[in-house]
Amino acid sequence: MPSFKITFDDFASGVTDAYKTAAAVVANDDDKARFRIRSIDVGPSDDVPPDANLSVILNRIADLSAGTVGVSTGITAANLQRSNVNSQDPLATGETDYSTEPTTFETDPVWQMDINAHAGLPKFFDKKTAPVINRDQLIGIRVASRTGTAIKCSGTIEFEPI
Amino acid sequence: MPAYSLVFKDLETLSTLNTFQTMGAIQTDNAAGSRIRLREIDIGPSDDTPVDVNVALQLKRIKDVSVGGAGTATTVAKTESHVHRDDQSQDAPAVGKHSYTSEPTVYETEVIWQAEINAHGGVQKYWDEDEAPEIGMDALLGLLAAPRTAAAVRLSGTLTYETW
Repeated sequence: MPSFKITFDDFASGVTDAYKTAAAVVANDDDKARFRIRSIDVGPSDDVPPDANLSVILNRIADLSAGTVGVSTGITAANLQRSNVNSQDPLATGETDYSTEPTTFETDPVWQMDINAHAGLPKFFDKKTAPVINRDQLIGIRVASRTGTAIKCSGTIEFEPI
Repeated sequence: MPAYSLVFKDLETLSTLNTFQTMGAIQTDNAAGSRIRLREIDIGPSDDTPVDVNVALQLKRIKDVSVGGAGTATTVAKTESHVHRDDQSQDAPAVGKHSYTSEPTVYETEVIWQAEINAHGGVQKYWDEDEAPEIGMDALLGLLAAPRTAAAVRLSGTLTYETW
């Protein structure tokens, strides 16, 4: 299976436990659209690293058509970076750098881990335990500082069709 | 086979030296055929002000929950969408538990898995299908944490489990 990648660079987290979305995979509203997240990587990029904790979650929107999707930088299917440059476009698009958050995320995340901003977080999901995105759904990497000061971070989300 | 999450958010350990508290647990239904295996543990620090404290982590099992003494905790309904890694999958024969106010008293004495972290770091533990700790019906797998100095530490993370 080809794998697709969405990167984000020097993204300022939300503050005081209010999450901001750094990157997201959006499955088309098409019954053939079905993907799984294979890995995420998040690490700190502040010029002056703070000794603060950063909460990282994977959050799902179960029905994109039902609500507000926020404001972000879109990446078309054709422009998604991929493991094999010759693979066909996925039935999905990417979003990065949200300036207005979607309002329809599920209350609780699919996956969570918190890290100190002196460290990084590589997370691999095997094929059986990977979070899945079905048609008209979104899964985003969302980050929040535990304090009132944003933490800058960079990283990647990788996904593949099922 | 379907996979499921138990997410626990910003839970505080006890502040008593070397005294363990359950951060999260998976409890199988008391019904024939109910069984799960734990595939991943992800846990890291969530204090507003990071502390320089070491934390011991243990994975322990209760073989027979119905015997009693399984503690008091918040139960996450198996029907919750976010519990399902694929929200089109059927419900697990198990529920997640977190935020214990009363600890189980019937854990096995021996520990299944143990690791130590500093509260400026975290740990990610992966088991493949053959190595993964398993429980059958009416049993519980719990992730416990204890500070190595007399100071509480706040932790967040995820237990990933699957049926087979």
